[in-house]
Parts: sequence; structure tokens; C-alpha cells
Amino acid sequence: MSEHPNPHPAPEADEPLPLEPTHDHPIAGHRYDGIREYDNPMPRWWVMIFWATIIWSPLYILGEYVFDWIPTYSERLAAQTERLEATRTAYTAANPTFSTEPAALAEYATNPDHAAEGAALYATTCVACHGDKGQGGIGPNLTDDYWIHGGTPEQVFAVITKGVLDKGMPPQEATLTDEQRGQLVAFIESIHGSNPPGSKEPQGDKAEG
Amino acid sequence: MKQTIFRRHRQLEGWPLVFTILVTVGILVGGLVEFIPLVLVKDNVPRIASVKPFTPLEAVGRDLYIREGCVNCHSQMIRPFRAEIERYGDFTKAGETVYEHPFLWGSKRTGPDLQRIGGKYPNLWHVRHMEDPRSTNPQSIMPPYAWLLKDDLDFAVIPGRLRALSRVGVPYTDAEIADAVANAERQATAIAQDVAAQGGPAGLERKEIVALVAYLQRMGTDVRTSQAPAGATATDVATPDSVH
Amino acid sequence: METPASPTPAQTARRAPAQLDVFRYDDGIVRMFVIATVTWGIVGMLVGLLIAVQMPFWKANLGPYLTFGRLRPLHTNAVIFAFAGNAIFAAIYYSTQRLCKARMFSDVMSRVHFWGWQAIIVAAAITLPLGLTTSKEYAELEWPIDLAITVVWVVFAVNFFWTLYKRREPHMYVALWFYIATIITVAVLHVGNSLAIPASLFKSYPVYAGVQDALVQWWYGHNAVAFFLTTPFLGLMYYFLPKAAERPVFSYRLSIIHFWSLVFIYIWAGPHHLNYTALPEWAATLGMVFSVMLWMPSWGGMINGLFTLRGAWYKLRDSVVLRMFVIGITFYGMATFEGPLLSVKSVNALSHYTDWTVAHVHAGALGWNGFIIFGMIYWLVPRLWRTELWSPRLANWHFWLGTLGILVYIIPMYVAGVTQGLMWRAFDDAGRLVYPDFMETVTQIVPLYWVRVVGGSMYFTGVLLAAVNLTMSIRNAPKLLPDPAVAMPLSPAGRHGGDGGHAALAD
Repeated sequence: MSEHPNPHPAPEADEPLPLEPTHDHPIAGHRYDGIREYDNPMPRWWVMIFWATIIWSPLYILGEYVFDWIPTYSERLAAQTERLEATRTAYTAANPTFSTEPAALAEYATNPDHAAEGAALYATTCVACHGDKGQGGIGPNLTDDYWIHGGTPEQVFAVITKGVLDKGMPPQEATLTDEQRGQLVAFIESIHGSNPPGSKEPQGDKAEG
Repeated sequence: MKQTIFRRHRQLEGWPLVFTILVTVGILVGGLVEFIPLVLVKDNVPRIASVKPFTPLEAVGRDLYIREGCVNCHSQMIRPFRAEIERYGDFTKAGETVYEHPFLWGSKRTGPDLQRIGGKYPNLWHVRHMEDPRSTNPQSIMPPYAWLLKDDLDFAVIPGRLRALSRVGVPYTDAEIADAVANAERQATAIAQDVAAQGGPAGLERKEIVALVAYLQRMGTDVRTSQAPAGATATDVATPDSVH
Repeated sequence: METPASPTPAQTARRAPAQLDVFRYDDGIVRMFVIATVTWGIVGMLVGLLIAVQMPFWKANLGPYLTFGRLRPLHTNAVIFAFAGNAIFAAIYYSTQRLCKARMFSDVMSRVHFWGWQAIIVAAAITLPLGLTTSKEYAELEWPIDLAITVVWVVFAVNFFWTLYKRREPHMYVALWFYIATIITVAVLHVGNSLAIPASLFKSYPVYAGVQDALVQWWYGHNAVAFFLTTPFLGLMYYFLPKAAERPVFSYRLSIIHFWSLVFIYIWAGPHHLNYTALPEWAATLGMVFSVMLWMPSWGGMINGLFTLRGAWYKLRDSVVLRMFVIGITFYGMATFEGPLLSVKSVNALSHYTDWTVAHVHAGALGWNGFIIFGMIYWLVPRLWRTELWSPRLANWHFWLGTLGILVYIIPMYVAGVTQGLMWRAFDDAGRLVYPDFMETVTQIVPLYWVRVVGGSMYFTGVLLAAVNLTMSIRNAPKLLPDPAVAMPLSPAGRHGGDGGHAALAD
């Protein structure tokens, strides 16, 4: 196996490494540009942890695919979904149900406290498209008498909830509670007719807001 | 046994060729064991019938997305967590990515995930947002990309791009490649007209922005069930197996 | 009968010690790589500083060419391939010659390697701001540059392996094992991940799609960290640390076990970058368990480094070189514990996509790579330029600014990462997202981005001090720097015991 063609004859055999590691004895023949090597044993804790990870690894794989100790992606997601549903159910049970009946909604929307709550939500959720005063922008003007999808509280509530995908209005069903959407309706009702500066031209049909 | 390993190793240290071969074998094993099944076993990437190649305009729009380095701050990979599904929409399926050369999943979300951005906002929103992100979101830290509204889109490169893509396996037919420029112009005109109709700037049909908007509006929409809005899929109890 | 039998070579050597094999090391190439290291280090970190400012302050995005999206790849490529790359080459060219007792095989190849590599870096610095990118992380360069990298790497490999072949030292020291692993694996990774079909001169599409492209990319990306930022640096540590400490390496047996386990296991760990993605779960699981098994092989290097200093700790007081090595190795130990931790699925679920990753990477890059590099440079400069280091005080300032700078960088990034990760997943009592607006999770961490800028500036200032120190030292260097000559007796007796048989000749 002599593969190097250097001008020197093949090296003499090194003194064999001691069978058992020695402590802080430089190994005979191990000298490289002045660097020497000890024959110290590998630290015991290091060897033990290494073995532990080697044993743990197949156990993890078996635990995931054979013994069902470790949930898979879909099992984790199913558990998360179940937990979330339980939270939502418990919340609904513990809190008086928010009625989305048209009459109740209309009643709710007239309360200025609810409109104030809605104003805060509007500032984070709606302002980008409908303008800071509801004057419209990318989305339609919310202060005039013209409505593309209807201007009753019930209709506005439905648009916020389900969105209008082909026009780019995102649904808020998953991000806002029924009551929060009710507060938004209250706010929108409260700015009706305010005619803020820079109002977008009317879109949709004239209706009683 | 252990002792002989250490003594044998001493011999190996005198044989660079053997040493190098052993290292090469050692580093090849792991990669091959992971890669080969992924290519050979079809179940690993279940096909989804509704997933189609990008249109010519979307394909060059994707190249602009690559050019501007959007992937450095935006992922396109919604993980199967409830919180991500609520925030972004249904999680990403392997089969949705079969035409992605390269993949653009990203590794950092300085901005939000964009996997299901398609159809979420109007075309005009995207135009305004790219021109000045602060106009749609006052606190945004995203850089403006106003030049996309000024620079002309190079339609002439499209056939060459599609041909290269077809060579790496995207099923564009010769007829589609021949019609690619016209096809892209049609889609660009439609988007530009829509932007103008919504009150945005006119005359964008030959600008780079329309290609990027076309791509953004396509993203993640191939698996969207008809009628149901983006948020609605989020409330389905979808599992990774449900689309297989 | 009177004619004496011709003597055996051994007898000749014994009788005529004057018969010497004289050769010279090529230190010129090492000086070139050292200067390139510091130069590109400044460039790469300056770009890093700019993009760090761009994150909290969008107005720092200047026109199309200097936006975050185009500069971030320039930063990563510059610090990995230009800064760390040139440093690796300096270390390899310096130590390989001495460990092989041989000059590099070809001076021409060494120079082709050097200038080819610098040309590639310049090409990267031009094309990336132009938006010519493949978008694959740490492999953004387009196909003509990829081809050039391949050619230059092959030149480097031939030069290196031929030097090994004609070495005068019978055995290869552990540093050389790590260099071998580096050269082979980087070649395989680069070619494997860059396979693409060109659409034009500066546009190509990878042959892999979607899930497969993701797997190949992170096989590459993870192992670029392994075989560009870890194995060559371990080789470097195994040479320069015992040299600087003048102590024997702690354990030869540990070297063997941790080398082979590291090389074999590292390559499997790539898919941990794709936990919970559309990559099939079995692949992510493999990536995770191999990452956990990688913990001890990584720590083997740290142990061999730190334990080599047993009995030499007092030397740290006066040696900025050793202090930098110790901080570097400590950060290596931290980062290689954190790596397996982050690969665990439930931790990754929180950390992925956040600034936690950024903190982790910079603990490794600034702590491990950066400090090992500058430790090496402070050790090399007096030897390569045959002069004193201009100002040990300034080097000391570099050490402290760098160490504190790393902490001021990574701590806010850890806080930002965990904060944002928790905000993204928070649900309220009603089962709604607490922060449905992504923006809320950004404004929360913007102040921390500013703190990071401070930490990065401190580290960068330290690097500037190093550059001043290096420049002033070189100005004091003698005009003529002949290559050091070495003589070895042409005899087997002289070979045994390596160093015993040769002496450096006076220049």
C-alpha cells in the first residue's frame, strides 16, 4: 500500500499505540511540526451521552411510526384543533351569546360605546383599504349612502364576516369574534354621513345606511 | 477490538487515498438515503390535480420575486399548526410545490407568510403596497419597490424562460411557449385595466409590477376549494392526509 | 576485496549528515490570503451593518441595488465565502505545508486559486446587487459563477492532494483529515445543489422542484455550515491552538472518534431546516435524530480544544491569540448544543422563521468563525511578516469589543425571536389569535433590531482595529520576506520522530 513517492524510504513502523489509554503521556512517533498528542481516554461523560443519543434516536423513530408514543404532524394538528374548538365552545358557553339576529344587531349598532370599541378595531384591521375616516381608498367609501353589498347592519356584518373575495375584502370570521364584528358595524354606522375630506366617489346602489 | 481500531487508524493516516475514499463514502451515505426515496417513492409528494404550472406572466413575475429577494423576508410555507392556519390559511401541501423551480419556502418571516396571499387583496392594493408599503400599512418596515411601476417588463425573455422550465420538467407545450408572449400581454392588460378601474395608475400593462401582481395573486390559490373564501378553509379540520 | 561495498542509504545518512533534503515553504500565498481575509471581512460586515440598519429603518434601503433583499445574500456570501473562505485557505496553505513537510505542489495553482477566488467574490459583489440570483440560500450565485467556483475548487483540490502525495511526513495529522473532508464534501455539495438549466447568461432554473429542491438545498445549506464553517475551522484549531499554547493535543483517540462521527453524521442533519414543512415527515425526523446524535461529535472538538489548554490557562493572560481561541471554541460549544436543540421539532416550532435563528447563526459566525480567524491572524502576522505585532493593546481592545459586541448582538436577537414566536401562536380566551395583525409582532421587536445594530457596530469596530494593527505591522516588516527553508536528512533514521531530524535554516 505504499503510495507516496517521496524521496525517503518508507517509515519504520510506529511504536504501537498502548492498548489502554494512558494519561498525559505524549504518544511516541506523534510529532507534527512540533505538535504532539496525548493518548488520554475520551471523557466518560462524553462517551455516555454519545451512546445515549445513539440509543434514543431509533427509539424516537419507532415511537413515531410504530408505537405511537410521539404524535405525527397530523396528530398534533388534530389535537391543537380539538383544544381550540374546546376553548371556543367554553367561551361561548360562559359568555352571553352575541345575537346576530338582524334586529338585535341593529340595536347593538346604535350604542356609542360599541362604536368606540369598533373604532379601535377599525384602526388596525380596516384602515389600510377604507381610509382612516372611512373615506375609502382601495376599498369603497363607508360614509356615504351607496353600498355595493347592502348597508343594513345585517348586511355589513355579513360582508365583514365572510369577506368579498373577488373584490379583495378579506373575511374576518377567523380573526374577530361575532361581538367584535358587531362593534365594527356600530362604528361604521356611527360615521355614516360624516363626509370626511377626500371621500371616494360613490360605488354601488343608493340605500338607507 | 477497540484497540485495534485505534491502531489500524494509524495505518490509515499514512494512506491519503484510502482515507479520502472512506471520507467520500461516509459523506455520501446520509444524503443518498434521504434523497433517493424522495425521488423514487411517489407517495412522498402526492400529486394534486388542480395544481397547474404558472402562466407565462406569473412565471416571469416569480422571477421578479426572486430578483428582488422577497424570499429573504417572506416564507411561502404555512406549517400545520392551528395558529398558522388561523393566521394565513390552510397549510402548504407537498403537491402544491411540484412546479416550483426553485422552491421559495424561505427561512425567515420578517414579514408575513405569503403562501395564501393570492386573492386576499385587490390588484390595486398590491400596486400601492409595492410602490409604498406605508400607504397600505403605516407601520410597515418593508422597503418600497417603486421602480417596478416604472421599469418595463421584458416580454421577450418569456419563451426562453418557459423553454428552460420545460427542460427541468414543467409541462409547457410547444404551442404554449409559442403563444407565451401574447398570453402574457393579455393577462398583463387585464390586470392593468383592473388596477386603473379601481382608481389606480393607468398604463401599467407593460410594467414589471403587473407580472409580480399576477404571481402574487396566483400564490396558493390552486388548492382553494371553489366558493369557499381563504379564511373558510382555515376552519376545516384539514390534516396532511386529507388531500391525498 | 579492497573495494568497499556501496553503503546502504541508512549508513550514508549516519555517516554523512550533510546530505540534506532542503526545501522552502510558500508563505507568500498565505500572506495573500490573510490580507484578503481581513479586506473581505470588512466589506462583508459593512454590508451586514447596512442591512441591520435597514431592518428597523426602511429608508436605509437605497434604490433597487441596495435593498435588503439583494444585499442580504451579498452579506452572507461575503462573510462565508470571502471572509471565512480566504481565512480557511490561509490556514490550509500555512499548516498543510508544515504538516506534510513539503512545499505546496504548484505555486501556479496556488495563485490561480487565489486570484480565481477573488474574481469570484468580485463577480458575486456585482451580480447580487443587480438581482442576478438563484435565491437558494448561500448558493445564490448564478450558473457561470458556479462553474468558475467548480474550476477553482478543483485547482485547489489537485494542489492540496498532490501536496499530500509528495509529503515527507509519513502520517497525516488530524488537521489534514479535516481539510480532506472539507475539500471533498464542499465539492460534492456545490455540484449537487447547483445543477440547473440555464435560460440565459444570468438566469437558470434548478433541475429539482419543490420538495426535492428544498431537501437538496438544505442538504447543501446545512452542510455548508458543516464543511465550510466547521470542519476546516476544526482543522485550523487542531494546528494553531497547540502551536499557540505549546501544549500537546488532549486526546488522539477522541480526535479519531469525533472526526469520523462528525463527518458521517453531519450530512444527515439537513432536513431539520424543514421541520413541519411539506417535506415528508420521515425525512424531517431523520434530520432531527441525526442532529441530536451530532451533539457529542461536535463537542468532541470543543473538548479536545479546551482540554489542550490544561496547564496552560495562565498563558491566556498575556496571549490575545489564546483568549480569542478560547472564546471561539466556547461559542462553538454553545452553538453546537443549540443546533441540536433547535432541530427538536417542538423547539423548532417556536424558533423557526424568527430571529432566534439569526442569533444562533451569529453566535457561531461571530464567535466561533470570527474569533478563531482573528486569533489565527494575530498568531500568523509576526511569523509571516517577521515583525512584532504593531500594537498588542489594540488587539486587546479588539478582543473585548468583539466579545461584548457578540453578546450585545445575540441577546436582543434571542429575545426578539422568542417574543415573536410566542406572539404568533398566542390565542385568547375566546380562541382567537391575540395578535391577528402581523404588524403588531414586528413593532414589538423593532427596538431590539436597533440594539443589534449597536452590537454589530462594536464587533465591526474591533475588526477595523485589527485591520489597522495588521497594516501597521506589515509596514514595519522587512522588505524582503524569503520563503522559510527547511532541511531534512535523507535517511529513515532521521524520519522517525518527525521534528527531531530537521532544523529550520537561517535565512
